[in-house]
Amino acid sequence: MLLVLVSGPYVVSAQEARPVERGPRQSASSLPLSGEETDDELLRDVLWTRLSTSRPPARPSVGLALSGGGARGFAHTGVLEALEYAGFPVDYISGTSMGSVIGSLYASGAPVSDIWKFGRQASELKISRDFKSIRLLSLLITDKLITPTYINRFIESRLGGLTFEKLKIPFACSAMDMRTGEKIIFSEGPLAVAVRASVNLPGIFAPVEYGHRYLVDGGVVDFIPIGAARRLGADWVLASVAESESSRMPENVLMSLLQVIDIRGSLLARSAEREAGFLIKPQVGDISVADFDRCEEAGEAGLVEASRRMDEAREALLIYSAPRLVQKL
Amino acid sequence: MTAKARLLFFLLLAAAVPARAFFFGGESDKKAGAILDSMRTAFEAGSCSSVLELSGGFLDEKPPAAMREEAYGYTGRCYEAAGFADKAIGVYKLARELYPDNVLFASRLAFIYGQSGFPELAVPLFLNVLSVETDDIDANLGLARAYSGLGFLSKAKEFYSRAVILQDFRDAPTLAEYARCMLRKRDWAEAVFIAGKGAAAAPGTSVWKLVEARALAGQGDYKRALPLIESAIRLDPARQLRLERALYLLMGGMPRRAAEAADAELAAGAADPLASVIKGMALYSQGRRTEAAPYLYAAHAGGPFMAKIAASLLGAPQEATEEPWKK
Repeated sequence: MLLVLVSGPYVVSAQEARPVERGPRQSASSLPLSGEETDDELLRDVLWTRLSTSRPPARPSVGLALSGGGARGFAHTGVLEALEYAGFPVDYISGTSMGSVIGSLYASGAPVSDIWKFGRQASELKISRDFKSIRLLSLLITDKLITPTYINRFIESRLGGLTFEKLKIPFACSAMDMRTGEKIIFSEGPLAVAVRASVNLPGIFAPVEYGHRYLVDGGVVDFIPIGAARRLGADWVLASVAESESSRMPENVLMSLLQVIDIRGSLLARSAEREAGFLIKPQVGDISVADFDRCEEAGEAGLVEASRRMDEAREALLIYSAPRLVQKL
Repeated sequence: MTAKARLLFFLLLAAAVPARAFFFGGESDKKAGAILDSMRTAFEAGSCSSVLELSGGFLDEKPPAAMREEAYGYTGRCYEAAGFADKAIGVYKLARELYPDNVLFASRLAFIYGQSGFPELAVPLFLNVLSVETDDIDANLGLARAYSGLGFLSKAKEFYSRAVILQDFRDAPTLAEYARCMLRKRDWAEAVFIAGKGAAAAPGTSVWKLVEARALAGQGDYKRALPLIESAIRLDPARQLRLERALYLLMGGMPRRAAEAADAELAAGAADPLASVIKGMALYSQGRRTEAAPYLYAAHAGGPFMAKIAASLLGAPQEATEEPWKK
């Protein structure tokens, strides 16, 4: 292979002075598959083939809990992609807020590539407009909360007509009753209204009225719904948490409110994390709750972080599962 | 000095200097050209120390842009060869800003970033190179590796695929690397297809049988994986392959045969924690936990994961093993 200086009047051979610029090159007798692995890696990878192709009760059941986080929560899509690459079993899913949107889509059988499309089209789907249309002055004058038209339209178009019972993977999502402060976990009945409730920002969007309750975003009381995944039947839960890392000062009153809700969610996350078998925290940088134009970026951050930590996650599940897995061989 | 006198002074000064000095840089450019010739000769002869020695004097002559562009190419690669990646990066970054159309600098920067563990910095640079040179094999391969390092395995597949096609499926190490990536992606069909190409490029190598065996084991089909790994062992009777076979026997529900295979390794003499844990798991799966215990204790001498698996089977508290995995 010759590298050439395309704009100069000369051709330079890079052969002579070229340092090692490729990966390690081996002779055909020691190609990079065997002999490079440690015994630990070999043991892990072969045990994993068994775990990933087994179903409960031959192994413990695995839940996936997806946190809230608005646009940042799109990081869960990348996490899902990494889990699929690894063949990570997902027997149950729970989600809060954006986690409920991503989780319900996945539980309905939507391929991860379709969920990526949703992220790429988020700006076209005008989801940001629900936030941009918020005029605080009119909120104060009319004293009426906003209905998130575009978010509702998206949820109805994807999940309308579905029930929890019809989903391919058992799913639950969290919301909060505005009047009592109770955590409400949905796991049966119509899906769309439950997801709408779970993603419904308090104080801005009008509560979702359902079953004599006034429901708002579950992130306020259950940022990482690990308990919901356990209630579905998960023995072990992997949690994906899209926490705030932004140190930006909010530009206006609305963003201040969103940031307060977000910080409250992150504080809740700290205590919930202890319940997880394994945590993945995508580094979403300064992407804010309402940055729906940056969903794809958040998703990529999720994929990078989940890939980086996948071997550790597999090992954690294998260590937990070993007694049952080996006993059932 | 009056305006007239000043004009006269400059005219006299101009007359004293040859015209080419204004238009072509004069003696200084000639000197720079000669140094550049020496740098080129030294570079082609593989004498990087000479190239680096000459580069200082060359730049002192303030040579024209085209000359500097060529010199940056030699200097950067010689810094790389000498192991001064940071200096090479400095040269390439500067050169990229000055000569954005020259993909050599983007290419070299991308390779350095890729090898230094910064695939996220390498990706846009490789994409830049490939936007100009779509058939650049090393850039396709470099981009595939960068994507693979980041976990973007579908994108990695696209560029590995291009690289091996451009190589006409003849480079066995690249084929093995690609197959490994496809096993990681659980793209069994592609892994087996590439193994077939690899077997044609480098026949008689155990790797291709191993890829096929792992593709089947990955789908839980240990019975069909066994003859393939046994073929691999015939080509390369390495300890790890023998123990991988023992693990397939165990995972495939043949604990007695797995224990026999582990015993064969343990009989060889030296302590072998992997063979011990296989034997321990085989006994455990048959409900012979007391007999399994000494083998599982022996596995503590293995790596940290092996020790934790053994501890888990010996009944250590789960929390103790889980906590360190959390972040």
